[in-house]
Amino acid sequence: MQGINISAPAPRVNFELLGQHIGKRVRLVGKVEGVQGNSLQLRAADDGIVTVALRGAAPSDLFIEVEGTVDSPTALREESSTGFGSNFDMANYNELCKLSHGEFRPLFV
Amino acid sequence: TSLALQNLSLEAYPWREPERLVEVRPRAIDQSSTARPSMTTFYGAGNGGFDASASQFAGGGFMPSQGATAGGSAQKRSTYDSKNQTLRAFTIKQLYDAASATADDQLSVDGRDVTNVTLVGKITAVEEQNLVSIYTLDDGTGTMLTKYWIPEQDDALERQHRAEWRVGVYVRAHGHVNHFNREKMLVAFNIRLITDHNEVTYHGLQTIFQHLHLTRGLPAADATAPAGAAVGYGAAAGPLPGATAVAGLTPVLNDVLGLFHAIGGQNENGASISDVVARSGGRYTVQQIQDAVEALQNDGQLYSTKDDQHYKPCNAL
Repeated sequence: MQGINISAPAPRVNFELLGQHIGKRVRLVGKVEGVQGNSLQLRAADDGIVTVALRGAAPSDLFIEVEGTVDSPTALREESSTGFGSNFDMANYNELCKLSHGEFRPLFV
Repeated sequence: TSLALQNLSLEAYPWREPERLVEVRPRAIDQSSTARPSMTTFYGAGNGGFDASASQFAGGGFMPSQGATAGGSAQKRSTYDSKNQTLRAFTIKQLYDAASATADDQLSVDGRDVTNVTLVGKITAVEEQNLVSIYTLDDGTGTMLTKYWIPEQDDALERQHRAEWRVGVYVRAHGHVNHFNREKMLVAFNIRLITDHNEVTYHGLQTIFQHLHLTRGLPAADATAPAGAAVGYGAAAGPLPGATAVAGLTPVLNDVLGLFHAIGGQNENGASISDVVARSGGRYTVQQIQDAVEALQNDGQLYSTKDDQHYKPCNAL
Protein backbone atom coordinates (compact mmCIF):
# COMPACT_ATOMS: atom_id res chain seq x y z
CA MET A 1 0.00 0.00 0.00
CA GLN A 2 1.19 3.50 -0.77
CA GLY A 3 2.67 5.56 2.01
CA ILE A 4 0.37 8.52 1.36
CA ASN A 5 -2.80 8.01 -0.62
CA ILE A 6 -5.47 10.56 -1.51
CA SER A 7 -7.47 8.47 -3.95
CA ALA A 8 -10.45 7.91 -1.64
CA PRO A 9 -11.12 11.01 0.43
CA ALA A 10 -14.24 11.44 2.53
CA PRO A 11 -14.78 15.19 2.95
CA ARG A 12 -16.59 16.57 5.99
CA VAL A 13 -20.09 17.70 5.20
CA ASN A 14 -23.13 19.24 6.79
CA PHE A 15 -26.69 18.86 5.48
CA GLU A 16 -26.32 21.50 2.81
CA LEU A 17 -23.09 20.02 1.44
CA LEU A 18 -24.51 16.51 1.44
CA GLY A 19 -26.53 17.27 -1.66
CA GLN A 20 -23.35 18.16 -3.57
CA HIS A 21 -21.85 14.73 -2.91
CA ILE A 22 -24.45 12.30 -4.20
CA GLY A 23 -22.78 8.98 -4.91
CA LYS A 24 -19.59 10.07 -3.15
CA ARG A 25 -18.01 9.18 0.17
CA VAL A 26 -18.29 11.70 2.96
CA ARG A 27 -17.90 12.06 6.72
CA LEU A 28 -20.85 13.55 8.52
CA VAL A 29 -21.09 14.33 12.20
CA GLY A 30 -24.58 14.57 13.61
CA LYS A 31 -26.55 14.53 16.79
CA VAL A 32 -28.69 11.42 17.25
CA GLU A 33 -32.38 12.30 16.98
CA GLY A 34 -33.79 8.81 16.63
CA VAL A 35 -33.07 5.18 15.86
CA GLN A 36 -35.47 2.72 14.22
CA GLY A 37 -33.84 -0.64 13.68
CA ASN A 38 -31.20 -0.18 11.03
CA SER A 39 -32.04 3.45 10.40
CA LEU A 40 -30.58 6.38 12.27
CA GLN A 41 -31.74 9.99 12.23
CA LEU A 42 -28.94 12.49 12.67
CA ARG A 43 -29.19 16.24 12.96
CA ALA A 44 -26.31 17.65 10.95
CA ALA A 45 -24.20 20.62 11.98
CA ASP A 46 -26.44 23.03 10.07
CA ASP A 47 -29.63 21.48 11.52
CA GLY A 48 -30.79 19.39 8.56
CA ILE A 49 -31.93 15.86 9.38
CA VAL A 50 -30.05 13.06 7.63
CA THR A 51 -31.21 9.45 7.50
CA VAL A 52 -28.41 6.94 7.87
CA ALA A 53 -28.74 3.34 6.73
CA LEU A 54 -26.64 1.48 9.27
CA ARG A 55 -24.45 -1.49 8.54
CA GLY A 56 -24.46 -2.72 12.08
CA ALA A 57 -24.99 -1.22 15.49
CA ALA A 58 -24.27 2.47 15.88
CA PRO A 59 -22.17 3.83 18.74
CA SER A 60 -24.27 4.84 21.71
CA ASP A 61 -22.92 8.39 21.84
CA LEU A 62 -25.06 11.48 21.46
CA PHE A 63 -22.88 12.73 18.59
CA ILE A 64 -21.78 10.30 15.92
CA GLU A 65 -19.52 10.60 12.91
CA VAL A 66 -20.67 8.47 10.02
CA GLU A 67 -18.43 7.71 7.09
CA GLY A 68 -20.25 6.41 4.06
CA THR A 69 -21.75 6.99 0.65
CA VAL A 70 -24.40 9.60 -0.09
CA ASP A 71 -27.54 7.98 -1.50
CA SER A 72 -29.66 11.11 -1.76
CA PRO A 73 -29.61 14.72 -0.52
CA THR A 74 -30.97 13.48 2.80
CA ALA A 75 -29.61 9.96 3.09
CA LEU A 76 -26.29 8.35 3.82
CA ARG A 77 -25.28 4.70 3.73
CA GLU A 78 -22.90 3.86 6.55
CA GLU A 79 -19.53 2.19 6.02
CA SER A 80 -18.22 2.91 9.47
CA SER A 81 -19.07 5.15 12.39
CA THR A 82 -17.29 6.63 15.37
CA GLY A 83 -18.72 7.96 18.60
CA PHE A 84 -18.01 11.65 19.15
CA GLY A 85 -19.14 11.82 22.75
CA SER A 86 -21.81 13.98 24.28
CA ASN A 87 -20.00 17.30 24.31
CA PHE A 88 -19.31 18.33 20.74
CA ASP A 89 -19.39 21.88 19.43
CA MET A 90 -21.53 21.74 16.30
CA ALA A 91 -21.18 25.42 15.48
CA ASN A 92 -17.41 25.23 15.19
CA TYR A 93 -17.71 21.98 13.28
CA ASN A 94 -20.15 23.57 10.86
CA GLU A 95 -17.66 26.35 10.20
CA LEU A 96 -14.97 23.79 9.49
CA CYS A 97 -17.25 22.02 7.00
CA LYS A 98 -17.91 25.26 5.17
CA LEU A 99 -14.30 26.43 5.20
CA SER A 100 -13.00 23.09 3.94
CA HIS A 101 -15.27 23.29 0.89
CA GLY A 102 -14.81 26.95 0.22
CA GLU A 103 -11.64 28.92 0.01
CA PHE A 104 -9.51 26.25 1.66
CA ARG A 105 -10.73 23.30 -0.34
CA PRO A 106 -7.23 22.53 -1.75
CA LEU A 107 -6.07 21.67 1.76
CA PHE A 108 -8.74 19.00 2.03
CA VAL A 109 -9.76 17.65 -1.33
CA THR B 1 -11.98 35.52 9.11
CA SER B 2 -14.77 33.26 10.10
CA LEU B 3 -16.25 32.89 13.53
CA ALA B 4 -14.60 29.51 13.98
CA LEU B 5 -11.10 30.82 13.44
CA GLN B 6 -11.79 33.66 15.83
CA ASN B 7 -13.00 31.14 18.37
CA LEU B 8 -9.75 29.24 18.15
CA SER B 9 -8.97 30.18 21.68
CA LEU B 10 -6.74 27.71 23.43
CA GLU B 11 -8.46 28.16 26.75
CA ALA B 12 -11.61 26.54 25.40
CA TYR B 13 -10.01 23.15 24.89
CA PRO B 14 -9.65 21.16 28.11
CA TRP B 15 -7.37 18.45 26.80
CA ARG B 16 -4.57 20.97 26.57
CA GLU B 17 -1.90 20.22 29.10
CA PRO B 18 0.91 22.69 29.51
CA GLU B 19 3.72 20.46 28.33
CA ARG B 20 6.77 21.67 26.55
CA LEU B 21 7.44 20.35 23.13
CA VAL B 22 10.24 17.87 23.50
CA GLU B 23 13.10 18.84 21.29
CA VAL B 24 13.44 16.22 18.65
CA ARG B 25 16.95 15.43 17.60
CA PRO B 26 17.77 14.22 14.12
CA ARG B 27 18.07 10.53 13.65
CA ALA B 28 21.33 9.21 12.34
CA ILE B 29 19.61 6.02 11.28
CA ASP B 30 19.59 4.01 8.15
CA GLN B 31 16.20 3.56 6.63
CA SER B 32 16.15 -0.22 6.51
CA SER B 33 13.49 -1.89 8.53
CA THR B 34 15.98 -3.84 10.58
CA ALA B 35 17.41 -0.70 12.10
CA ARG B 36 15.80 0.14 15.39
CA PRO B 37 16.43 3.63 16.65
CA SER B 38 16.41 4.25 20.34
CA MET B 39 13.13 5.76 21.30
CA THR B 40 14.42 7.30 24.50
CA THR B 41 15.63 10.30 22.55
CA PHE B 42 12.12 11.13 21.51
CA TYR B 43 10.05 10.01 24.35
CA GLY B 44 10.30 12.83 26.83
CA ALA B 45 6.73 13.98 27.14
CA GLY B 46 5.19 10.60 27.78
CA ASN B 47 2.12 9.35 26.09
CA GLY B 48 -0.69 11.26 27.60
CA GLY B 49 -0.02 14.91 27.53
CA PHE B 50 1.56 15.77 24.27
CA ASP B 51 0.15 19.10 23.40
CA ALA B 52 0.65 20.54 19.97
CA SER B 53 -1.19 23.74 20.63
CA ALA B 54 0.71 25.05 23.64
CA SER B 55 4.05 24.32 22.10
CA GLN B 56 3.21 26.03 18.92
CA PHE B 57 1.86 29.16 20.48
CA ALA B 58 4.06 29.50 23.51
CA GLY B 59 7.24 27.74 22.58
CA GLY B 60 7.52 29.28 19.18
CA GLY B 61 7.09 25.82 17.74
CA PHE B 62 5.31 26.68 14.59
CA MET B 63 6.34 30.29 14.12
CA PRO B 64 8.29 30.81 10.95
CA SER B 65 11.64 32.22 11.96
CA GLN B 66 12.32 35.73 10.81
CA GLY B 67 15.56 34.78 9.19
CA ALA B 68 14.25 31.88 7.16
CA THR B 69 15.78 31.72 3.73
CA ALA B 70 13.37 31.32 0.91
CA GLY B 71 13.82 28.83 -1.87
CA GLY B 72 16.25 26.63 -0.04
CA SER B 73 14.50 23.38 -0.79
CA ALA B 74 17.20 22.18 -3.16
CA GLN B 75 19.73 21.79 -0.39
CA LYS B 76 20.10 18.55 1.48
CA ARG B 77 19.71 19.26 5.14
CA SER B 78 22.10 17.28 7.24
CA THR B 79 22.59 19.55 10.24
CA TYR B 80 20.15 20.10 13.03
CA ASP B 81 19.00 23.69 13.24
CA SER B 82 17.05 24.20 16.44
CA LYS B 83 15.93 27.69 15.52
CA ASN B 84 14.18 26.45 12.42
CA GLN B 85 12.43 23.42 13.86
CA THR B 86 8.71 23.92 13.73
CA LEU B 87 5.69 21.88 14.73
CA ARG B 88 2.97 22.27 12.16
CA ALA B 89 -0.51 20.89 11.79
CA PHE B 90 -1.39 19.40 8.41
CA THR B 91 -3.98 17.47 6.53
CA ILE B 92 -2.69 14.37 4.78
CA LYS B 93 -3.64 16.00 1.48
CA GLN B 94 -1.22 18.85 2.19
CA LEU B 95 1.61 16.39 2.76
CA TYR B 96 0.69 14.47 -0.38
CA ASP B 97 0.78 17.66 -2.44
CA ALA B 98 4.13 18.63 -0.93
CA ALA B 99 5.57 15.18 -1.64
CA SER B 100 4.33 15.31 -5.23
CA ALA B 101 5.93 18.69 -5.77
CA THR B 102 9.51 17.61 -5.12
CA ALA B 103 11.94 14.78 -5.72
CA ASP B 104 13.67 15.81 -2.50
CA ASP B 105 13.27 14.12 0.83
CA GLN B 106 12.74 17.54 2.39
CA LEU B 107 9.13 18.66 2.08
CA SER B 108 7.97 22.22 1.94
CA VAL B 109 4.44 23.54 2.52
CA ASP B 110 3.41 27.17 2.13
CA GLY B 111 6.96 28.12 1.37
CA ARG B 112 8.53 26.73 4.51
CA ASP B 113 10.26 23.48 5.28
CA VAL B 114 8.34 20.81 7.09
CA THR B 115 10.11 19.49 10.16
CA ASN B 116 7.81 18.23 12.91
CA VAL B 117 4.28 17.38 11.92
CA THR B 118 1.07 16.76 13.79
CA LEU B 119 -1.84 14.91 12.24
CA VAL B 120 -5.26 13.93 13.54
CA GLY B 121 -7.00 10.98 11.95
CA LYS B 122 -8.93 7.79 12.35
CA ILE B 123 -7.01 4.52 12.49
CA THR B 124 -8.21 2.29 9.68
CA ALA B 125 -5.59 -0.46 9.84
CA VAL B 126 -3.09 -1.75 12.40
CA GLU B 127 -0.11 -3.97 11.76
CA GLU B 128 1.83 -4.92 14.86
CA GLN B 129 5.32 -6.25 14.37
CA ASN B 130 7.99 -7.10 16.88
CA LEU B 131 9.79 -3.79 16.96
CA VAL B 132 7.34 -1.47 15.29
CA SER B 133 3.62 -0.93 14.84
CA ILE B 134 2.31 0.45 11.59
CA TYR B 135 -0.98 2.32 11.62
CA THR B 136 -2.95 3.62 8.71
CA LEU B 137 -4.28 7.05 9.58
CA ASP B 138 -7.24 8.43 7.65
CA ASP B 139 -8.20 12.06 8.19
CA GLY B 140 -10.82 12.26 5.45
CA THR B 141 -8.40 13.98 3.07
CA GLY B 142 -6.25 10.91 2.56
CA THR B 143 -4.52 8.03 4.29
CA MET B 144 -0.95 7.87 5.57
CA LEU B 145 1.11 5.03 6.93
CA THR B 146 2.37 5.83 10.38
CA LYS B 147 5.22 3.93 11.97
CA TYR B 148 5.61 3.80 15.70
CA TRP B 149 8.75 2.19 17.09
CA ILE B 150 8.17 0.22 20.26
CA PRO B 151 10.17 1.91 23.02
CA GLU B 152 13.06 0.07 24.60
CA GLN B 153 11.50 0.67 28.00
CA ASP B 154 8.25 -1.01 27.08
CA ASP B 155 6.25 -1.15 30.29
CA ALA B 156 2.67 -2.02 31.15
CA LEU B 157 1.46 1.58 30.89
CA GLU B 158 3.02 1.93 27.45
CA ARG B 159 1.38 -1.30 26.31
CA GLN B 160 -1.93 -0.17 27.71
CA HIS B 161 -1.77 3.03 25.70
CA ARG B 162 -0.91 1.14 22.54
CA ALA B 163 -3.85 -1.17 23.09
CA GLU B 164 -6.13 1.85 22.71
CA TRP B 165 -4.92 2.57 19.19
CA ARG B 166 -7.38 0.35 17.41
CA VAL B 167 -9.21 0.49 14.11
CA GLY B 168 -12.02 3.03 14.26
CA VAL B 169 -10.57 5.41 16.86
CA TYR B 170 -9.23 8.91 16.33
CA VAL B 171 -5.67 9.64 17.39
CA ARG B 172 -3.27 12.52 17.25
CA ALA B 173 0.20 11.70 15.96
CA HIS B 174 3.34 13.80 16.15
CA GLY B 175 6.38 12.94 14.10
CA HIS B 176 8.48 13.41 11.00
CA VAL B 177 7.70 12.62 7.43
CA ASN B 178 10.19 9.98 6.39
CA HIS B 179 11.15 8.76 3.00
CA PHE B 180 11.46 4.99 2.70
CA ASN B 181 11.45 2.81 -0.41
CA ARG B 182 10.19 5.66 -2.56
CA GLU B 183 7.27 6.13 -0.19
CA LYS B 184 6.62 8.87 2.29
CA MET B 185 5.31 7.89 5.68
CA LEU B 186 4.98 9.39 9.09
CA VAL B 187 7.39 8.19 11.73
CA ALA B 188 5.55 9.05 14.90
CA PHE B 189 7.36 9.77 18.13
CA ASN B 190 4.07 10.23 19.92
CA ILE B 191 0.55 8.98 19.42
CA ARG B 192 -2.34 9.90 21.68
CA LEU B 193 -5.91 8.68 21.74
CA ILE B 194 -8.40 11.47 21.19
CA THR B 195 -11.09 11.57 23.83
CA ASP B 196 -12.62 14.98 23.27
CA HIS B 197 -13.59 15.01 19.62
CA ASN B 198 -13.67 18.77 19.48
CA GLU B 199 -9.96 18.21 18.98
CA VAL B 200 -10.76 16.83 15.53
CA THR B 201 -12.49 20.10 14.64
CA TYR B 202 -9.69 22.04 16.28
CA HIS B 203 -7.06 20.33 14.16
CA GLY B 204 -8.92 21.03 10.93
CA LEU B 205 -9.26 24.68 11.84
CA GLN B 206 -5.63 24.80 12.90
CA THR B 207 -4.41 23.60 9.50
CA ILE B 208 -6.41 26.41 7.88
CA PHE B 209 -5.21 28.96 10.40
CA GLN B 210 -1.55 28.08 9.95
CA HIS B 211 -1.90 28.04 6.18
CA LEU B 212 -3.46 31.50 6.31
CA HIS B 213 -0.79 32.82 8.58
CA LEU B 214 2.06 31.57 6.44
CA THR B 215 0.55 32.71 3.17
CA ARG B 216 -0.92 36.02 4.22
CA GLY B 217 0.60 36.98 7.52
CA LEU B 218 -1.29 38.36 10.46
CA PRO B 219 -2.01 42.06 10.77
CA ALA B 220 0.23 43.68 13.36
CA ALA B 221 -1.40 44.24 16.75
CA ASP B 222 -4.74 43.05 15.43
CA ALA B 223 -7.34 43.32 18.16
CA THR B 224 -9.54 40.72 16.52
CA ALA B 225 -6.86 38.04 16.28
CA PRO B 226 -7.76 34.83 18.13
CA ALA B 227 -7.22 35.17 21.85
CA GLY B 228 -4.97 32.14 22.05
CA ALA B 229 -2.80 33.38 19.25
CA ALA B 230 -1.76 36.47 21.15
CA VAL B 231 0.46 34.37 23.41
CA GLY B 232 3.04 33.31 20.88
CA TYR B 233 2.22 35.71 18.12
CA GLY B 234 2.56 38.94 20.03
CA ALA B 235 5.98 40.03 18.89
CA ALA B 236 6.15 38.14 15.68
CA ALA B 237 2.75 38.98 14.32
CA GLY B 238 2.82 41.37 11.47
CA PRO B 239 4.19 41.53 7.96
CA LEU B 240 6.11 38.54 6.68
CA PRO B 241 9.91 38.70 6.73
CA GLY B 242 11.37 41.16 4.26
CA ALA B 243 8.25 43.29 3.98
CA THR B 244 8.43 47.06 4.00
CA ALA B 245 5.15 47.55 5.87
CA VAL B 246 3.78 50.36 3.75
CA ALA B 247 0.61 51.60 5.37
CA GLY B 248 -2.55 50.89 3.43
CA LEU B 249 -1.21 47.82 1.62
CA THR B 250 -2.25 44.29 2.46
CA PRO B 251 0.38 42.01 3.98
CA VAL B 252 0.71 40.20 0.66
CA LEU B 253 1.33 43.40 -1.32
CA ASN B 254 3.80 44.53 1.30
CA ASP B 255 5.55 41.21 1.05
CA VAL B 256 5.80 41.37 -2.74
CA LEU B 257 6.93 44.99 -2.63
CA GLY B 258 9.56 43.97 -0.11
CA LEU B 259 10.80 41.30 -2.47
CA PHE B 260 11.13 43.81 -5.29
CA HIS B 261 13.10 46.07 -2.94
CA ALA B 262 15.32 43.23 -1.80
CA ILE B 263 16.14 41.88 -5.25
CA GLY B 264 15.87 44.92 -7.48
CA GLY B 265 16.17 47.97 -5.28
CA GLN B 266 19.71 48.58 -6.40
CA ASN B 267 19.38 47.50 -10.03
CA GLU B 268 18.71 49.87 -12.88
CA ASN B 269 16.03 47.54 -14.23
CA GLY B 270 14.71 46.43 -10.86
CA ALA B 271 13.68 42.77 -10.58
CA SER B 272 11.81 40.44 -12.88
CA ILE B 273 8.60 38.67 -11.97
CA SER B 274 10.32 35.30 -12.24
CA ASP B 275 13.07 36.48 -9.86
CA VAL B 276 10.46 37.40 -7.31
CA VAL B 277 8.60 34.10 -7.70
CA ALA B 278 11.85 32.22 -7.15
CA ARG B 279 12.88 34.32 -4.18
CA SER B 280 9.50 33.88 -2.52
CA GLY B 281 10.36 30.21 -2.16
CA GLY B 282 7.10 28.90 -3.52
CA ARG B 283 5.01 31.24 -1.46
CA TYR B 284 3.46 32.74 -4.60
CA THR B 285 2.66 31.63 -8.11
CA VAL B 286 3.55 33.67 -11.19
CA GLN B 287 -0.09 34.70 -11.49
CA GLN B 288 -0.17 35.93 -7.92
CA ILE B 289 2.95 38.03 -8.41
CA GLN B 290 1.52 39.44 -11.63
CA ASP B 291 -1.67 40.38 -9.83
CA ALA B 292 0.29 41.95 -7.01
CA VAL B 293 2.45 43.89 -9.47
CA GLU B 294 -0.65 45.30 -11.11
CA ALA B 295 -2.06 46.39 -7.76
CA LEU B 296 1.25 47.89 -6.70
CA GLN B 297 1.55 49.76 -9.96
CA ASN B 298 -1.93 51.18 -9.50
CA ASP B 299 -0.95 52.23 -6.03
CA GLY B 300 2.14 54.00 -7.30
CA GLN B 301 4.61 51.66 -5.60
CA LEU B 302 6.18 49.96 -8.63
CA TYR B 303 6.99 51.04 -12.15
CA SER B 304 7.97 48.93 -15.13
CA THR B 305 11.48 49.32 -16.49
CA LYS B 306 12.81 47.65 -19.60
CA ASP B 307 9.78 45.45 -20.32
CA ASP B 308 6.59 44.19 -18.75
CA GLN B 309 8.47 41.58 -16.76
CA HIS B 310 10.72 43.99 -14.89
CA TYR B 311 9.64 46.35 -12.15
CA LYS B 312 11.27 48.64 -9.64
CA PRO B 313 9.97 50.32 -6.49
CA CYS B 314 9.10 53.98 -6.96
CA ASN B 315 10.17 54.97 -3.48
CA ALA B 316 13.29 54.09 -1.60
CA LEU B 317 12.88 52.07 1.58
